This record gives sequence, structure tokens and C-alpha cells, in this order.
Amino acid sequence: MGEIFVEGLTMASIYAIVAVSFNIIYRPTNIFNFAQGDLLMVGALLAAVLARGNSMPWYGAAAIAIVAVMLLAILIDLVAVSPVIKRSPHGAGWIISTLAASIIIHEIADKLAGPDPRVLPAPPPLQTSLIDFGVFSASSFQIGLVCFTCALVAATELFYRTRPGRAVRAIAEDREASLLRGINPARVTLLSFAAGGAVAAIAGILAAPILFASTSLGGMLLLKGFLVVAVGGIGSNSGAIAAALIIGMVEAATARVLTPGLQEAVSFAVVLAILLVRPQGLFGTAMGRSV
Amino acid sequence: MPLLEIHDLSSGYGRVPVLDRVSLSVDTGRIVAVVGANGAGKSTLLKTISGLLKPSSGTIRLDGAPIGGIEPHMIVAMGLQHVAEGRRLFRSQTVAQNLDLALIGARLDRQEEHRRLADVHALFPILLEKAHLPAGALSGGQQQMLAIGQALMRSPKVLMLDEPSHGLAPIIVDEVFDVLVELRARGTAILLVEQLVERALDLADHAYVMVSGRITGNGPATSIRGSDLVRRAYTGG
Repeated sequence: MGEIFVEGLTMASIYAIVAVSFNIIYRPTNIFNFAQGDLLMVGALLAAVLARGNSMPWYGAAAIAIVAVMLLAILIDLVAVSPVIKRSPHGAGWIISTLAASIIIHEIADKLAGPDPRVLPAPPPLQTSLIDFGVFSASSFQIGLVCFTCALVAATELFYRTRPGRAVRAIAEDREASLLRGINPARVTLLSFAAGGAVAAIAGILAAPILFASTSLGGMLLLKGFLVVAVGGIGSNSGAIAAALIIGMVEAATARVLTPGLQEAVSFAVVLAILLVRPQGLFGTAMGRSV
Repeated sequence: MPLLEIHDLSSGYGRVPVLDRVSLSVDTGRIVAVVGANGAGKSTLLKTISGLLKPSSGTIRLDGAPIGGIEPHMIVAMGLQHVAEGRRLFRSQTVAQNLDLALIGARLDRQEEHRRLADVHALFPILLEKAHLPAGALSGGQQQMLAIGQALMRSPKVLMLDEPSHGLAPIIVDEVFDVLVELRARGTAILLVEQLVERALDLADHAYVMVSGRITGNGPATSIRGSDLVRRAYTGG
């Protein structure tokens, strides 16, 4: 029972960080960045390569990887998103253009890094070895991961109360009115991609000590992140936490009680059941958006 | 030189033309009204000036600088504010937050920000009283005051208002129009699109009559008031 809880909570944390990275970009732009999984994968791989054999301090490697992924995310905005929404603000061209960015990044990473998974240790001084707490055992990394996730979500929500953060909410609420108040949407979009990219890189770097850094990490976590935002309500970080907990726990329980092979099937069945009852997600609003 | 000068301006939505070679100007310390029936293109005119729509031809000058076709936030930074029709506020944010948000990109120091806020509160005391309520919880009149207050946070040289009286009680309209008189006295150039033609012409110094995207006449508001132009603009005669 304790193991299910710890494992569920660990995976829930990673899924929640991925979902937050989606939401950061989605809120001001209404765009679901399909390249988000690849940003995450690049972050994990780059950090693993840089930190290999302690050739560089862990935090130095992580910082370089995060900055590199931020720049990559900005490039995606400049090349694949902003030009597309400039031409047709309410069109769906971004679906194809962010998917194209995803495939291009994935193939380049595959050529450069190869398919083999790489090891990235936990951020020091945290360890992935389990400590026995009696009722349950957890690693110091798992505890740190859960704390970091809570802090990240809290910091994100605090940001939305500052003036720039409220500008993001204003664009989401009424784009035209925010233009007339002097908000520059292109700048907000660019900064959102930078921030969303940084959080994606962090998700990859924190997933790697458990799941290994490999080119297949992106696709797997993209799918889980998508499930979490769909169930939680796209754009809602509190929804993301609730949904990540549900999916993480269902997976952990399935793996322990039934078999790890059924994890995906059971979690998708649960997701389907929730969406049948609440198509807009747990914390989503059913209202149409005014454009 | 007029603060806002428009020459032969044409624009529309996509390939649908609305404005047809419109020319008008607004001097400092003047209220200029644009009157005309629904669908005459008055809102399209304001949207083109504020940059929401791109002109297909013609020029727009703000204090001498061409602003046609540039991004709305740049035009805001140059000193023009457009209070759109329908009280477009950020309803989930408080009154104080709505006013504060209008300062984004203005790069003012704290002292100047406080001065601007105090000035808006002096013009609309209700906004101080309701500072911590969400904008969505205000009455229609209070929302209109907040919308104008947001625009005034940027101390605009040119203020454009689209139907500020829409849906408001006459006594509230008086209050809003009194503020426009005060702003005129301070030297703001005001371009007013108004459904209440009589009231708009009472308030304005100069007026333009618009019919199907064209200016069919203009002159001092008092003379426009008595002329046939207005009646024809509304009856299509």
C-alpha cells in the first residue's frame, strides 16, 4: 500500500510538471505545443551527456540544458508558431507546425544521440536509494521531487498575480481588449514559450533519474502530459495536480495489483470514464471562449 | 497641427471594404463626434485608428507621426487610447488590478504610477471605493468608468470612445460626459462615437456625419445639429 502511494506520487509529480509546462504556453496562446515532449527529451539528454562521468557539476549541466531548451522553445515560437498565428489568429495551423517541429527535433536527436538510454543521477545531495520510514519507504529524490512540484505550481500561480502574470490572464480572457490596453501579445507568447520550454526541460531532467534519458522519453511523457491536462482541464494547474495524482495512483496500483503491462490500458480507461462524465475536465470551464 | 489626422483612410474586414476614403482630424483640447446609423463604419474607423484593423490605403497621423498599420501596443505607447464598445474589462481581475494592468509597458516610476492612479480616482471616486471588487461585479456605469479609467492611466494625447453611453442611465451618462469635458479642458483630443446623437452634438465642438463608410459632411457641432445631414444619415433619405 505504501509502495503504491510513493510510486504514484512520484509519477504524479513528473506528470504534473509536464502538464504545467503545457499550461504555461496554453494560457495566453490557446496553443497546445506538440513539440513539448521533444523539448523535455532534449533537456534530459543534454543534461545526461553534459553530466556524464561527473565531467561537469550536476547543477551546471542542468542549467545549460534548461537554457538550451528555452532557446529551442523560443525558436519554435519564432519559426513555427508566431508566423502561423499572425496569418490566421483563430486557425489551427499551429497543430501541424508544432507537430512538424516535434518530428524535426526528434529525428535530429535520434541521429545525434542514438536510441540507447542514458543515465542522469538525481540532483545532489538527493539519492534514488530507498530509505525505510516504517510504513513506507521512499528515496530522498522522491521526497524532493514532490516538494519541488508543489513549489513550482505555487510559484506559477503566484506569478499569475503579478502585473506580467495578469497580462497573460488578460490575453486569455479578451485578446482584443488586452491589445488596446497596450499588452504586446507577441512578447507574451515568446516569453511563455521560453518559460514553458524551461519547465519542460526541468520535467525531463527530473524524470531521467527514474525513467532514463532517451529519445523515447519525449513521446511517452507527451502522452501522459496530454492525459493530465485533458482530465484536469486544459490551462488549469490545480486541475493538473488532481489529474496527475489520479493517473499516477491508478498506474502504480495497476502495476502492483494487476501487472505493469496493463498500466496504460487501465489509466486510459479511467481517463475515458472521467471525460465521459466531465468532457471539459475536472477543473475546466464548459463555457465557450469569446474570440 | 491636429493631434490626430486621418487622410483618405480605407479599411475593412478581410476583403470586405467598410471605410471609403475617410478624412478627419481632431485638435488638442477638442471633442470631435462621429455620428451615423448602425453599420455606417464608426467602430471600424476607431478599430483602424487603434491598429486592430490594418488600413488598405490612406494615412493616419498621431501628433505628426504615421501610425497606419503598426501594432496596437505601439500605438498605445505613442499616446492613443481606444475605449472599445461594450466595456471590455478583465472581469476576473479586481478594479485596482484592471487599472494597474493598463500601465504595462509604460515604464513609469512608482511615484508617477501612484500619481496616475490618484488622478483616475479623483475623476471617478467610485473606482477607489470598489478597488478590491472584481470588475465583473460592477454595475454597467461603473464598468464604463473603469474602462475609461484604464485608458486614462496612460495619460493619452488622443482618447477615442466607442458608444460610452450605451446601456447607461441618463444620470450616469452625465457623469461620464462631465469627465470628458474635464479632459478636454486639460488638452486631450477626444474622438467620440455615440449613439445618443443629440447629446453627442451638445458635447462636441466639431462633428462628422458618416453614411455607409463615407463622411458625408462635417462642421461645428451646433451647425451639424440643425442641418439635414444628420436626419438623412439616419433615415437614408
